[in-house]
Parts: sequence; C-alpha cells; structure tokens
Amino acid sequence: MSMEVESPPITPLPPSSLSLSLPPRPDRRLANQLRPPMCELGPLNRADGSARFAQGQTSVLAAVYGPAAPRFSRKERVEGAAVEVTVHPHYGLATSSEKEKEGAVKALLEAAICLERFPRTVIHVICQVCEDNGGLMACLMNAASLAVINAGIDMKYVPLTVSMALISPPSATMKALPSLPSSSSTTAPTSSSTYLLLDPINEEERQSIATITIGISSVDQNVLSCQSMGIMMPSQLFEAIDVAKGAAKALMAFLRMTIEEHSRHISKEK
Amino acid sequence: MRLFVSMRKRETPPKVMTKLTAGKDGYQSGREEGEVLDEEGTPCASRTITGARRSPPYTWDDTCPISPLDLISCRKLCLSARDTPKDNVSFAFATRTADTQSEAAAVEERGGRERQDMNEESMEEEGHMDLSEAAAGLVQAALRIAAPRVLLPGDTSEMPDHLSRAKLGNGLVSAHSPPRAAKATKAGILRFQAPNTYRIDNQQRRYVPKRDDMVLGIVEDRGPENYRLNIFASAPGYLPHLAFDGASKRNKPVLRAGSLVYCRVGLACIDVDTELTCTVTQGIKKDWMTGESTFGELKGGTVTRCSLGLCRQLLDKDCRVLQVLQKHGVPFEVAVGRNGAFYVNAKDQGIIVAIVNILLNSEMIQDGSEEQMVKFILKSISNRHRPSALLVPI
Repeated sequence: MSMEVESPPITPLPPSSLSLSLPPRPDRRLANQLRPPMCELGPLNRADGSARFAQGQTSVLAAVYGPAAPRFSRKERVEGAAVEVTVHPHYGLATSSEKEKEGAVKALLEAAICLERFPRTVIHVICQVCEDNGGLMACLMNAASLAVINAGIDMKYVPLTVSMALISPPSATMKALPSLPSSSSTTAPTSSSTYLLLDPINEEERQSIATITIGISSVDQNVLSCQSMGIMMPSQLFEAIDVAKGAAKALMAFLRMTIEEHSRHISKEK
Repeated sequence: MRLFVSMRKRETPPKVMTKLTAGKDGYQSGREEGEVLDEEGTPCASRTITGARRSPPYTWDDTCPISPLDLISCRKLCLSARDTPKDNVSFAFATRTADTQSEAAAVEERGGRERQDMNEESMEEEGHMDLSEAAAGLVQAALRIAAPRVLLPGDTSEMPDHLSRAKLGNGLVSAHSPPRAAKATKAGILRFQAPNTYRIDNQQRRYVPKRDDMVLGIVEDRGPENYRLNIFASAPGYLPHLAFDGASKRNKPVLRAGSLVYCRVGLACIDVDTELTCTVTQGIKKDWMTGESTFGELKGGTVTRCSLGLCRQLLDKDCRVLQVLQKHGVPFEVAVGRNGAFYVNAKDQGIIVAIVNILLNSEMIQDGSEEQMVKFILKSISNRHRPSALLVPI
C-alpha cells in the first residue's frame, strides 16, 4: 500500500564550505570529519589485552581476559568461546542502557573473533567509559576490538565502528521529521535538507533527528552492526552505511599505523 | 563524499606515558614520567600512544574564508611537513616512522597532485585528500625503508612460490582467495623461520598449548590419576602420576599443590584437556630419581610470568642476553617455558633477583644495549653487600 514519500535529500557537503546553509559545528569541524582518534595499546598490565580508545573527548578503556575457563560450567559452549561484555558507565551504576550496549558489543565481537578455536572458554571484555562526549557506542566497540587484538585472540578481520547523526538545520520551519508513509506528503519539508554529520558530539546528538552507529569489517567492508535511535528513511540509512564505509577506511588506516608502531616498538625492530 | 580526520587544538595537556628508556645513551633503569617523545627522542616504550598531539597555532591560508580554524587536512599537513620546522608539525598519527625521510618520500609520492593544488592557492578547489590514502602513503614509504611487515587480522600475504610447502604457524591460516596465500588472524610482525615456516610474532601473554612445547606448570591439585597444573592457558593441563622417566606405582615423585614442574605438552587439542608429561622422547633418558632429568619438579628459585614473545626470544639459540650472561660467568640456572613463564635459581638471592630483572628487561631493550644493561644490574647487586666477585672482568 505504501505511498512512496520522497525522502529529503542528504547533501554530501562540499568539503570547503562552512557557509551558510549549515551552521558550523560546535567544534568547527566539517560534516564529514571525524574527531582525531587516539589509541593506546596495552595500558593495563594484568589484563590479557587492553586498549584505550578516544575520539575527541569521548574515551573508553577496554580490558580483555581470556580465553579463560568459565566459572560456571553452564556458561560453556561446546562449539566455541562465549563472549561476555561488561560496560561500566562514566558515572553511576550500570543501567539497562549499558546492558543494551553490552549486547551490541558482544554481537560485534562474536562476529569478528574466531570463536571456534576456543571451545568451552569465556572471553571477558570489560569496558570502562572514561569520558563521554558523543559517539560513545562507536568508541566502545572500537576500544573493545582493539583490546581483543592486543590480547592476541584470533580474529577474522578488524571491526571498525563509526557513529553519525542525522540533523536538519534550524532554518527549517519546524523540526524536520521525515514524514511517515501514512501521512500526507505535504508535510515533508521541501526547502530544508537533512545532513549527515560524522562523529557527532553530545550537543549534536541531542539536536539530531536520529543517530546511527555502524560497524564495518576491514576486509570486505560488510556491515557488522547497526544501532540507530530516531527516525530515518531507508535511503538515509543506506547513505549512512556508505558514509560509514568511507570513514571506516580512514579509521583502519589509523589503526594500522598504531598497531604497526606498537608492534615495532615491542619487537625491538627499529 | 571525501572524508578526513580533523585536528583540533588540544585544550588538555598531552597524555603522559610511562616508559622504560633505552635510548642512544644506553640503558636507564627505572620508569620515567614525561611527555610523549617526538621523533628525535628514539622512544623505546612498552606502550605506545598515538594520537593528536598538542598543536601550535598554525597559519591558515589567507584566501580561505574559514579562518582561523584549527582544522587542517592531511594534505596540507604533508605539505607543511616539508616547510615548517619539525616540532611544529602536528600529525594526527604520531608515528615513529614519520621522520623527515619517510614523510618526504610520501610527499614526493603525491607531489604531482599536490603541486597542482598549491599553485592554485585555494584549499576548497580540489578537495582534501582521503586520509586513508595519505596514511597508506606514509605506511608505504615506511615499508619501502625495508621495515618488517606488520599484519593485522584479515590481511592476506602471498607466500613465495619457491617454497614447496609453507607451514603456517602462530596467527596465520591459509586463505583461499589468492592461491598460496596466508591470512593473518592476529596482529603482529610476519616472520619467516627456516626452512619453511611463517608465523606472526606478537606479545600476547596467554598460552595456547601445542604439542611438544616445553612448559612450566604450577600444581593446583592432585587427583587420583593425575595432577592438575596451571599452565597459564585457557584451561589447566593434566600430568599423570606416572609420567616420569623410571616411575612406577611404588616409586614416583610426590608433588604438592604449589610445586613447580617443568614438563612437556603431550597432547594438545582444543576440545580435550591438555595432557602433560615429564618423560623424554628424544635424547638422554634419566630417571626422575637422579634429579638430572630434563623435566620434573623444580625446587627453590623463583618463577616469573612474561609474554610469549620473550620466551621465544630466550629459547632462541642465538639469544643475546644469555650469551652476555654466560660471558660474565654468573652462576645460575634458568628454565624457560613456552607458556610465558621462566624459572631462575641461583645460590644467592641477589643473583636470582638480578637475573630475573635482566631477562625481563631484555624483551624491550635495543640490540646492543644488553651488555650495558647486564653490567648495570649486576653492578647494582654487587654493590650492596656482596663482594664484587660477581662481576667477572671480561
């Protein structure tokens, strides 16, 4: 029955202009710019693997213990390792939103790790949110992936995660929600367009129509995970996936450099 | 849509990291707190922080309507690497390999494209370079300087044709897409070991049991048929009571919880418990009673955990640290297990401590500084309350 509603276009922003239809981002980035990533491998001595990953002022410390014998035999899985994730929030006690994040990180890692190599073991991943300024889900996933790589647990590929926000500039007459197929098409905003912002900060996430976090595989650019909050059209989702693939390439280059640097340091190869 | 990483002037001070320095001036013990060393400092860190460093205010193009922003593109960065003094270059990825040579090489690589844009004097014209390209360019430049190859999970590497049958060791599985290729499942340096084995070297700490590895285990519990040993893997290993040379029901060693055992992995399968044994298959067989057997209980001394990489280095027949120690003539006994643990014993407690420290430090130290490090540590031990007969002049 669906009445096809033309989705408002997502204009890929020309790289130069910060003029004028789009207000500048609070930290003066362009719409297609990530915050500078920071990565530290192996900050924790006792963990099998650990990593601190930060993008701008969002920072997560992840530790991995495993593969280890499970405490309760009911947790054993005969066909492969079980992955357990714990996310500790920035402050306060863990709530159901942390549980949701844990589930998402677990799904990503279960896809990436070669679980069948470690049957009847458990891989514990503990993530501590150190700072939160937007794009937390992506930071959590990246930190967890790096910690698993640091632990030397076999993985099929490197999962890279990027977060985006779909915003509509305040020049629109009203908060531009893309209209649902059932409603009349006249409410679809015509003059304003929605923009996709890469790596949003808290302020931008709050003002956005939707936020979306997409995990991409480093090997064949497949989508590994997708969490979204808000309303978006299918075409906007696919645009977001394309943007995420591009951003994942940039992140992968950064990770590659980091890990090469780290490997060369610790192996005495100068 | 072009994408690139943005650089922002950091409000916060740069990250402090602890490091164990073994720089050009020789080995310095202890830990120092300080800033991230730049390219001059020859960092030899046990941990690496890469990321945005504190960036000084840099000039923006006057023609650009966006001013004065802290954003630079990777392309402009590469340009500025040539012009500005070195400590003004702030790079999103603080790489060691980003010395002027490789940066210049990378810049030259893309010189054609960039010189065009420079002439046009406008940033918004061509658009910014994809970061991944720039990053890949620098990596390529570094690789050209004949650095060893680091692989990430998912990377494939072609095996050379002349190898009749390449064995894939730690961290490599055979890939099917390019024929005769190996796919990495771990991150680390690709190494070749004669005659035909490739493996990935990484510094993980958790052991994965493999047949015929010599390992150190700590007895956890004694069962009716075997001992349960902690071999620092994902599951304990089991050592049968009679798995000692010359052992019988009436004549077998009695191990208690907490004993240290040097043993061999007999059966290692991911689905089944790891079986250990203290019998010898090749070489001289000595009864456990004599106390001269290779495997068996290790009494006294101390056991220290380390990374698997260090154990591999120590078990190498050309291990430099052990050669240096041999030259110094210090009497000690060491048993290195492949599972990330080694045992040291000597008559004197001071020597035990010194040897443990020497071996742990040898993991990170640069080639050539072992001599200095060994002398330093042995000297500090001997100065305390021992005669300097420990240090044999060579």
